[in-house]
Parts: sequence; structure tokens; C-alpha cells
Amino acid sequence: MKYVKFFLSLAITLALACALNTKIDPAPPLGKFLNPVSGFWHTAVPVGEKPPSTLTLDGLQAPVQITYDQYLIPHIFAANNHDLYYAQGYITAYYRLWQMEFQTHFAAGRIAEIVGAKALDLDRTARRKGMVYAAENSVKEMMKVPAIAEAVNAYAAGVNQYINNLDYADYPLEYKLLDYAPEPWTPLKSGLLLKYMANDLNFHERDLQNTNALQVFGRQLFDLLYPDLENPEDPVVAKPGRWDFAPVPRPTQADSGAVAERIGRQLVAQPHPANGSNNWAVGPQKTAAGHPILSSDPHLGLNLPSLWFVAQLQSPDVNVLGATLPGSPNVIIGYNDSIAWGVTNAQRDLVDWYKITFKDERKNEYKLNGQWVKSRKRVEEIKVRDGATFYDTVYYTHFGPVMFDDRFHPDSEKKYYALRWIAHDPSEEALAFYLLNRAKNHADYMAALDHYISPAQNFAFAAANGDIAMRIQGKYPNRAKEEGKFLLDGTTTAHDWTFIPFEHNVMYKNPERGFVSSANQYPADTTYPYYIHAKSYENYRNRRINTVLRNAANITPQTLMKLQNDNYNLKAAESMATFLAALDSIKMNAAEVEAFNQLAGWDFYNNVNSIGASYYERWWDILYPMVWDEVKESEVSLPWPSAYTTIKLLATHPGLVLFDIKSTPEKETAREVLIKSFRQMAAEMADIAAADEKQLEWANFKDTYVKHLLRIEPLGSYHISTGGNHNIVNATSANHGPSWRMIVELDPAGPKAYGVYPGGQSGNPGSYFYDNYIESWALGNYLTLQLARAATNIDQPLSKQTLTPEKQ
Amino acid sequence: MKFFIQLILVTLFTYLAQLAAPWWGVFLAAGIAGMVVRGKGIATFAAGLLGVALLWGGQLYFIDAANESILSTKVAAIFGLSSPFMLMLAASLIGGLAGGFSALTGKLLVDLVKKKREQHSVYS
Repeated sequence: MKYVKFFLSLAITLALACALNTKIDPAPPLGKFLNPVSGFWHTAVPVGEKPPSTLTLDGLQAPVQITYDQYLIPHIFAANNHDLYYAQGYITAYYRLWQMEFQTHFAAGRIAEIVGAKALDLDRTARRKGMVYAAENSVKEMMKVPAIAEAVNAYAAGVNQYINNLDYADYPLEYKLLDYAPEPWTPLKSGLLLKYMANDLNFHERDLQNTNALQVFGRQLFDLLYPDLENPEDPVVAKPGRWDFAPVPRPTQADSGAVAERIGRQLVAQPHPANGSNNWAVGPQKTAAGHPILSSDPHLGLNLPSLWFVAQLQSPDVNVLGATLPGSPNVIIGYNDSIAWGVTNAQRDLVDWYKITFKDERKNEYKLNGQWVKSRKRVEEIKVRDGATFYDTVYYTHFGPVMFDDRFHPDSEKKYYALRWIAHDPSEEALAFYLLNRAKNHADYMAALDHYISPAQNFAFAAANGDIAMRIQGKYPNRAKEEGKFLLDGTTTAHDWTFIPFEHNVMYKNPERGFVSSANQYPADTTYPYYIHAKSYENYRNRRINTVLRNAANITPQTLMKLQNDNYNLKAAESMATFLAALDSIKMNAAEVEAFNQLAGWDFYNNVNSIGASYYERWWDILYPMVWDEVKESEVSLPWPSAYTTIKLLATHPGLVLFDIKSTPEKETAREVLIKSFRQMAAEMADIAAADEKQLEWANFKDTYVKHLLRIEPLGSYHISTGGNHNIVNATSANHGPSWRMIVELDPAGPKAYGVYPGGQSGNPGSYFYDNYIESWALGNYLTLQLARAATNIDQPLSKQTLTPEKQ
Repeated sequence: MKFFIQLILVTLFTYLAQLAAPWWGVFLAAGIAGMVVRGKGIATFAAGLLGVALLWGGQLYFIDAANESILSTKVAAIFGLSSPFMLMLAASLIGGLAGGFSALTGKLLVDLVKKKREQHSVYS
């Protein structure tokens, strides 16, 4: 009996110990996770706790002084560049380690390693897109330049110093939730992070969809629905007739190279369509104080931990402050005491698909210029948590990796498409940012950008000497008309990419109008001598920004804060007359009369309390898919016409055959579609009003949120009250918008700068600094940024820290 | 009295184990405490449970107060619990169960050994 009792008790105890130390999906190991000493509680930072005042680190050459200001922005002062980037790596890892590693795992196609087989398709997509191949090419370039090799290696050493001192108790929350451990950091991961950005910014394409659309709609309708240039007003750079260079011709008599085909297969996931940005610089003649002012606000998915980490970096040859990307050395958007710069995405087709003819299903040889050429195999090893390692063979051709084949999303016919993507090319963006951080004037800025290849960006620039400039920098294929707009013939090298020389890129300095601006619109006026094409262009934010800047004088930073937060809905203002005219003399019920009155009385601002905005936006969201039911319900994937073209066609081509709703027996025109969508909207809005009138106010209706990267709801921030929307200068939609707002006045006596982002400096959900900027951001307020000359010059410091080299 | 001595030993041993060992040191600490002072089965289990639960509960209270419940509010929601208090209660109970069963097992092991010795002394 004693034996029975003992063994029963022992068995229960051991079973309990095992159960509490094992991850039982989706829960973490409960004992390991919940215990007060090494469990998640260890990451609960006492409110008011300051960063440690001294840290002894192995690998530093000299002491580094860091002062944290009241916003937990580290101001790092180092005696040399090695120590500067080492400290940047260490401090970034201190606050953002989990995110740095997770984002680079995502880019590398390694999520299945953490979450299991459910991420296998995601990982195979990243591998087959050549993300790792691209990052490897990028790292090779970094290692060729000694200053960059030093920066990237020192950064990695700093991150690793932090990782090496961790035990389980110190792991960030997400490691504990998912029950895994950090691994050493490498320069390849810095390369992967840059490709993560390239994927977000330069993978916009619709070549395969265009190929389908040309077949489905025919040429005339295709051109009507998807014009290359929708609105020539307000391109990024307008200098008609003054492009004083002779364009380099295409080396062959190339045509569009289009292959006619219907592609039924699932197409590649595209970056968020609203990934874009605003930036501008106003010259001294337009500002109150006579100094140029630069503004930049990149629009990206709103996530926690935030994409950006703000820091000041100082060594004897650099003193720069701005938004850094955790995982990469240097500042990406920022300023020093001489210049400031900001970026928006350059809309350009930098992705092409080539149709490959393999000799047989072994895919060892493919046809090129009439000969069989050998393909190169790259075996991707994808580790799977709680499962067998998956080996995926990717075939590389002259053009790039064959992303889709008989083993990845195959369809009935074997069609093989090779991917040509600018991010695969060797690139020196790390060097470009390194030099930009140190630039003193316009010439330095130009020299820095000569090293910049991808992701293509519109670089706005301002200098304390009064210069302003814009340069649309990237490596752009020199194309024949419509070349690369459709699936290309991959049996010939006739459509290989050759490039526009950098000096022919779209750019200018000190234009007469006194400002430069960009908002993802068409890059140049129609006299620019190269063919330009992109998946989409912005047609509203750019015109609104330029209207405000043209009319503005005596501009101060506050004027530009107001503009970054401007909620004027130009799209609504331009479309309302057409929309309401369709409702003329129809019979309306009470809900419809209310909706009509709300719309007719609206001032076109998507402000927090605007009710008309909610009616308009809901109407648009019902109308748009109703108009393009042919696109939505097509058996093959088709591109969606832009909002701008849709609104234009509703007004100018009311009888367009596509306006007929296929599922109804009647023949609809623009008028009937507008009426039908209006009635549906009015009924929905009446229901909302009946439940809670407050929900009609735009901020409540839109219901903006910032989500955690793992989409774990309690780690996000929800119900944020803020105005704006896509196509509006304040581009804040439900989960997308300005991820960093910065304004810099380049006073020669010392720059005055302001910035804010929807997050906080700490990536730790257990820290007060995790999401403490969100409220300021939502209200349109800014933090004052301080580019200090020395560690002792910070106003209201939170604390001081010394990193000391470990004695040898 | 024995019960209180047990309770204090469980708390003390667990506290010390937590300074050095991984979290599962709690099983060893409570087990040893159960071996040192032998009480009745139920009482030993209760001392193990309460000893660890009170220690954990106390530690969690101080951590959570200093953090102003920033983290516990989020993690409680992840587990579908209504408040940080419920999360702390759940964590303490889990620790308590570990402590209770470990202490009991420790006591039963000593029972076994002691009994054997007594038997030997009778028959030899």
C-alpha cells in the first residue's frame, strides 16, 4: 500500500512537471512561462526604472556614452565608428531583439521553424522569390567596402554581445510565448532586413494580371481601364522640355515582348496597396525664418513593435539623428546639422516574369536563343518545428529563380515563370545610407545616392545652406513601350534588362516654385524621354500637398505639421458631384434622405468627428467592387482599375459595358450602380445609427488599430481615435498609415526637429515605452528631437549610461 | 505546529531554489521540505501547496505593482482571463500544485524508507 501511494504520488508529480514544462499548442509551457522568477513576469519592467547606468561589454575599443532623453531615445556618443555601430547594435537589440530576429526570419523563409508546418507555404514563397539569394548578394557588396564591412560586423558583434548575456529569464516575451530561443546575429541578417524592406516597397507588379486582362478585355478596353498615365498634373518632377540629355536607346529593336496567355494560377501575394509615403522640402524663400524645412512620413502597415527605432549616432565623423531600422546600422530617415532627407516609395515596375521552356520535367535545361542552356539548382532547406525538414529545389535561370513550377502551386498546364526582380541585383544601399548620414551638402547627397540601387525611393533633401532637391533614385530598366508590362518571352535574351544611367534619373534641385514634393505619384512630366510604367500611382495626395504648398508663404514647422495631418479628401471633393447627380429625382426612404443630407452637407474633411466622411467612405467601399464585379468574379486574376480611373469613367463613360452588373437581368449604367450602392449604404448606415449614433463619427467608423507582428490581439493597440484615410495626406486608414512623421527646420544655428511614430521605443509589451507615443501620434502631436553635440547637452535626460570595454 | 514548520520550509527552500535552479527547482525544493519534516499526508500536501502558492503570489504581487499591471493585463487577456488578479491566482495555483504533490511525494518516500528500517529492526 505504501508503495502504491508513493508511486502514484510520484507519477502525478512527474507528469505535472512534464506537462508544465512542455508547449501544448497554442499555450506556452505553463510552469516555465508563469513562474515569477524566470517566467514572463521577468519582462515586466517596473514603471520608472531607468536603463542600467554602466554595462561592461566585450569587444568595445573605448567607452561609449549614451544619454536617454525623456522619450527613451538613445543619444550615442562613441570615440570611433566601430564602437558607434557596436553600440547601435547592442542598444537596438536591448530594446528590439525579438522583432529584429522575427522580421529577418520572415524574410529568410524561416517562420515554419518557429510556428510549424502552417507557415511552410509562406516560407517557400520567400525562398522561391530569392529573398536569401538577394540578401547574400547584398552582403557580398557590403563586405567589399571596408567602412561598411566594419559597420555591419561591429553592429552584429554588438547584437551578439547582448544575446550572449541572456538566459531564459531575460528572453523577450514573444520567445517565451512561442517557446524558442534567439540565435546569433550575422551580417546576412542585416542584408535580409534590407530585402524585407525591398519586398514591402519594390515588389509591386501586375504583369500576369495585365496579361490576363489584355486577353479578357481586348486592347481598347484595357487601355481605357489601365492607362499608363492617369493624370499628368503634379508629377514628382516637372521640368518640361528641360531634360537636357539624349536618352540611351534600347540595344535591340525591342517591342513589348508580351506573351499572350491566360494565367489561372494563384498569383504572388502583393505588398499592401497603400504602401506609400509623403515627403517634401520647402525652400528658404517660402519659410517664415528663411531656413528650408523638410518633412517625411512613410506610410506602412501599423505594427507593434514599431518598424522604426529613433536614435542619435555620433562619432568623430558623423552626428546624425532619425529613424533607424532595427537590424541595420545607420539612420534611414533623418538629419544632421547640415542636411535632412526623407524618402517615399518610387512607383516603378521593377519586377518581370519570363515564360521559360524547359526541355523536360527534370528542368535541367531550358531554351534560350535557340539553344538548350543548363539551369542552376538551389536546394532550400526549410526546418519545420515538430516536423520533418522540407527540401525545396528552386531552379535558377538566366533571368532569375523559377518561382512557380510543377511542385509549387502547379496548375493543369505546366507553365514556368522565372522572376526578374531588382532586389536580386548586387546593391550598396548600406553604403548609400552610411554616406547620407555623413553628408554636408547637395554634392554629398548626390554622391551618396550614386550608390543606391534598391528599393527605389524618392529622396527629398534640404540643406542648411538653403538648397532643396528631389531625386528619384534606383536602378531602372530602360524599356521599350510596354516592355515588362506583361508576361515576357523567356526563350530569348532580347528582353533582358539594360538600365537607365543614374544621371538620367528623374531629379532636380531648387525648382522655381520653391518646394519639392513626392507622394508616390507619376515621377515626371510627359517630356521625360524614357518609357515609365508602374502597377499604380497616387493621384490625390500629391495634388493636395502641392496645392497647399503652392499657396503657402511664411511656412513654419507648425504649418507642415498641419499639412502632415491634413484630412482633406480630394477624392470625395472631386467625385461627389457625379455621385449625387445620379441620385437626382429618385424616390428616397427616410434612411436615404438622411444619407443624402449628410453627404450634401459634408465639408470633405475626414476628421475624427466627421459623419459625412463615414457615409462617403462606406458608399465607396460598396460601389467599387460593385462597379468592377467583372474583376472580382473573374476566373483568372485581373488587376483592379484605380480609384481615380473609376471615378473618371463613371463621369465620362456612364454607358461603359462593364458598369452592367452581370448577376442582375437589367442593364445597369453608371447611374444605376451608383443608386444601387447608395441605397445599400444608406440602409447599413441607418442600422449603425440605430445601434449607436457615435459609431457614425469617422474615427469610430474607421476604428484604427496598431497590431502586434504576431497578431496577438491583447499585444496590439485598438480603437485609436484619429482622422484621415488612404488617398488623403494624413494617410491613416484602419491598419495602415504614417509609420513615422518627421519635420526638420535647417537653421544654420542648429536644426530644429520634430518626430513621432505610432508605437514606442521599447519592443517589450511589459514596458511603459512599448506604445506610449500612440496617443501623441493620433492627436497629430510631435516629440521635440534633440541632435545634441555632446552627451551632457540633452534637455530633460531620463538617464545616462556608459558602455565600458571589458578589460582584456 | 508541524504544519507551520513545513509551510515555512517549503517557502524557504523554494525561494532558495529559485535563486539558482530553473523554474522546476520548485519540485525538488518542496519535495525535500516534505522529507525533512514528516506530517500527515493531507497536511504535507497542503503545506506544499500553500507554501509555494503564497511565495509565488507574494512575488507576483510586488512585480505586478511595480509594473502597474501593464504586462499582466495583456497576458491575462491572451489566456482569456478577466483580470491580472485571475492570472496571478492561476500562476500561484499552478506553483501550488507543483509544491503540494512534490512535498507529498517527498513525505511518502521517507515513509517508505523509514517503514523498511522499522521492519528490519523487528525481524533481525
